[in-house]
Amino acid sequence: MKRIVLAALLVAGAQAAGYRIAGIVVNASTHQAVAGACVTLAPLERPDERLPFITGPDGRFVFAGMAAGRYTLVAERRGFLAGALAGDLVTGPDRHTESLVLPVSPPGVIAGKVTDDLGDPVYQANVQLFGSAMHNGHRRLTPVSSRQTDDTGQYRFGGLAPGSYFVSASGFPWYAKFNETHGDAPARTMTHTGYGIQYFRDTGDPAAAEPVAVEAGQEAAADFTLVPLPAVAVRVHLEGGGDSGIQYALTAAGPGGNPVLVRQGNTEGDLINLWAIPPGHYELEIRSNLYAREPITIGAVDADINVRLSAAPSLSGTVEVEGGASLPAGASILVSDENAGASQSASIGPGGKFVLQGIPPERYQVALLGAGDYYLKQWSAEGVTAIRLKAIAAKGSRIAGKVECDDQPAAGALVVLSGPEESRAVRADTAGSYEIRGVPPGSYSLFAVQNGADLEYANPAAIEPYLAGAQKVKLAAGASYSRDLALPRTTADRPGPASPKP
Amino acid sequence: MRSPAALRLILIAGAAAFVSGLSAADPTFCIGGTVVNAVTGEPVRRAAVSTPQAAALSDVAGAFHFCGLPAGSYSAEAEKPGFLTAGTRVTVGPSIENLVLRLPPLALVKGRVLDGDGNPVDGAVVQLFAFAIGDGRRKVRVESTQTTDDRGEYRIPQLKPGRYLLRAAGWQGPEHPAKDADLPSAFAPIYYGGGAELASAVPVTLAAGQEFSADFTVTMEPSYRVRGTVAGYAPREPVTVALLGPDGEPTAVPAAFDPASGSFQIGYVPHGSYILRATQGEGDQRLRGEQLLQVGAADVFDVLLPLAGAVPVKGVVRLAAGAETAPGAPNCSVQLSPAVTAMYEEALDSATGEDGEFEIDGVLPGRYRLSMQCATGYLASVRAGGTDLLAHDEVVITGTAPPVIEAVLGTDGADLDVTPSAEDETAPAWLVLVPDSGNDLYARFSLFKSKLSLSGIAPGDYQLYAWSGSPYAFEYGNPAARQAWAGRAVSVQLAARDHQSVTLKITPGEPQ
Repeated sequence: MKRIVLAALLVAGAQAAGYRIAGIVVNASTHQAVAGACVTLAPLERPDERLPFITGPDGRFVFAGMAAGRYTLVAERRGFLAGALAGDLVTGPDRHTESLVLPVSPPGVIAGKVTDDLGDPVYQANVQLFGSAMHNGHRRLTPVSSRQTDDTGQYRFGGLAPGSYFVSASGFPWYAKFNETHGDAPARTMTHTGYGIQYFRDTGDPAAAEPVAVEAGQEAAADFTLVPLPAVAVRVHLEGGGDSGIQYALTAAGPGGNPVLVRQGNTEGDLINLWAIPPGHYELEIRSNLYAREPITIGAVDADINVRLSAAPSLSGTVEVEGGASLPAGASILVSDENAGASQSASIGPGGKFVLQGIPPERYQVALLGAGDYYLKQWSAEGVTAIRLKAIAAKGSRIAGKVECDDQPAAGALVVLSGPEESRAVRADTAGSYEIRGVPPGSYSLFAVQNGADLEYANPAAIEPYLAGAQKVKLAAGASYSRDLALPRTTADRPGPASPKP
Repeated sequence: MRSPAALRLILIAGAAAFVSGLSAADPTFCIGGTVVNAVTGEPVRRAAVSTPQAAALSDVAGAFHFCGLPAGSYSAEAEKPGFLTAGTRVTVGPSIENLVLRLPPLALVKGRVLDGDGNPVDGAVVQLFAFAIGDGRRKVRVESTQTTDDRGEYRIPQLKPGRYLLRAAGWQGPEHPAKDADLPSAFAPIYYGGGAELASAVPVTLAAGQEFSADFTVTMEPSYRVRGTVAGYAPREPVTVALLGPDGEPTAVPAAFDPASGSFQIGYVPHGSYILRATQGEGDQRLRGEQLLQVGAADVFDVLLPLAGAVPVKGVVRLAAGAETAPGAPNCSVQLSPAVTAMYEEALDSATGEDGEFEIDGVLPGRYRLSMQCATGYLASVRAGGTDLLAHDEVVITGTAPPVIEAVLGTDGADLDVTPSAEDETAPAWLVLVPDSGNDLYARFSLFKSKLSLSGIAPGDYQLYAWSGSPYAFEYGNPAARQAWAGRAVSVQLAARDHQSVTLKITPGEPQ
């Protein structure tokens, strides 16, 4: 810790003419100062050049002698969720960066117990947690974490951000192992039972699942009862190349269409034995050096099914830039699973070439990342297992300006540029400035929201209340625009500044 | 009376399959009884009771019953998570209706990991080791690894009764460690009982069904990164990089390896001494690289860890010049065991041939301890290249063929007759002769009853210990354990060609 303070003092001495970045770390729930938090300051363009500062009993931090520029500022402390400024930090002449408030939230917890129909604990039940996250302006339910219950049937998800979560529990009765089959040997059948998936609260229907509300620093309970149901054994015969090191996962569609794990394991050869599976609709995913993902409907009797393995497709191609320009170094291409939201990216190399290996067959969205002023104008793909993608990038528009509220910079305000084909959003920095680059030409609505973290800015219904007060802008390819924004006074979501208590 | 829920689950299918080969006239019989907790006597519900031919679940009262068994003898077992499986041999014809199967409950270790301020440490790794004594030293095997939750709590269930060691092993931090080593983000491993070393760990003895609480208070301190490159690995095959403690115990510190570049990174490493090890492949294709690593108050970068395959270690044993001719060949057994003693690892064995030569195949890079026992004399000198292995009994293998081990046998060793005192004469006992020099090459370990004659002992000063009971009662390779048993030791000074007799009192040795 001494080294940190010394480093800060040295910086102060060497750059006495620089700027001060100072403030306080507070508990977001109690507004009490947080001692022992590590505040990290890093230049936006050089994130590795981080300066740490450990707050004292008063929760205050100071970085003196800093060069004018843009920075990120993050506070971390064990027992709290990390806190950061909503937008970039800008320091320089006339920038007031000495009274910053960095809130850190005590994490929430979801805990509970999984029992069977007799009230006995279910050991090693699989409990999955789903939470909503913003993805390209749409709120989407995604898997957050999973746990196995302990010998008392209990599980615990700690370190949760406040919000709403869905929880599922699945597994099988321990005694169903007598139904386990090995190779072609018949099962040692005793009880043809399994557990159906349960969702909080007491339902087997994911559509009827009830969210669990988690508040900062609070513990929410979600208990489950797994009831034995008639179940069957399924033998999956792999075609096209059994192998060693085959991983399989049997899932069912859960909240938001997310997969809920029913069974997973590793096997060798060309046979997978599944047992204690209640009838229903599932998806079986198999990965080795080959791949398969197939929907499976399991009925009321033991079954044999065949699954063909094949090589997972590769995606390669080129991104050409209109006019022969080059994309910025570090640009990459991003393919996002339309359903699950999972994404993969590949760097765009010399000649605009890129390669992505082993992409599961699925519907994907394609986009550019880190391409600065350029956007993906059009693309086409051909092929089945080796897909060739040809894309054309073009220089888009740039729009920038300031966001103010009561004649003051609206730091952290969400600036939304909404068009019929595409919507973009950025955070205003501490000077109230924003910039959106690489926008396809067209007509857009431009507006700002003070607390926009939960705004589904790509959802027309969600932004409808803001459109009446939005600026209408028509952007031409390659042109730059300046538009200042004032936060609508009708916006009731602007909280007052946090008032830390000593 | 059984509940409807229990009745629904009691299905017997295997028996039907078994009796299909019988004629309708063959009589069949039943087995019925109760499953109870062996400690509390309480009924155990939903225990599975099975014979190879049939199986059933016990009901809420612990009762079970299944039929369709032809006359004969069967092994009947009961099992349920949380209990040890228990069984008995039963003969039916007639039926048995009052069989009681007693399930011993498994034990549990639980506790908390707190920092110096009493705050819970989330993500601390707690390891439970099963351990035994081998070559006079503790050897451990990881039985379970758990991570503390946000309350700093951990829980290790389903443990068989026995002796264990517990260790808060480190912090399982994020996958991508923070850059700043200044953060108090790790703690040095600590054993239950407060010691930092394996030899000082306090064993935990668990009885059936016991719940044992073991809390740790750790001192959070800055952590550092270790970065480097693995060389000589086969592309496209997984490489395991691990940071081990000075005793070879796993640290639980996460290590990341990039097969494309061969680079590795280990985060959250507190200052201390470590062994860095990388392995790849199986069997004859196995590669390994190992080196000592000292982490001070800074990151350690640019570590080069070359992998190499196994090499043979060759040697020869000769009689000392001018020594009296011993009958036959040197007749030595030779063993290389990992010098890093903490983890169970196979020792590599060989023996001298008629010409006194030996060869140990398949020795992977690493540090090994040499042991040799020769029927025809004591080791007067053991050298490998320029290294005197009597003074320094570690053999370091780097992946290239090491120098030939050259041993010279002295034949003027001493003889020692050991006799238990009169009151101990009938009890078999363990005996170990430990040189004051601490050199393992001269230690002798034996089981004896009535009388034991040791011959060909190297001249020198020794301590003689004897005990009854478990052979694992005495960690004679541990100086602290020898100190603890100092009052039981008999000092022996042996000169060349001495012949001495010692009478020893045998005292029980409690497992450590």
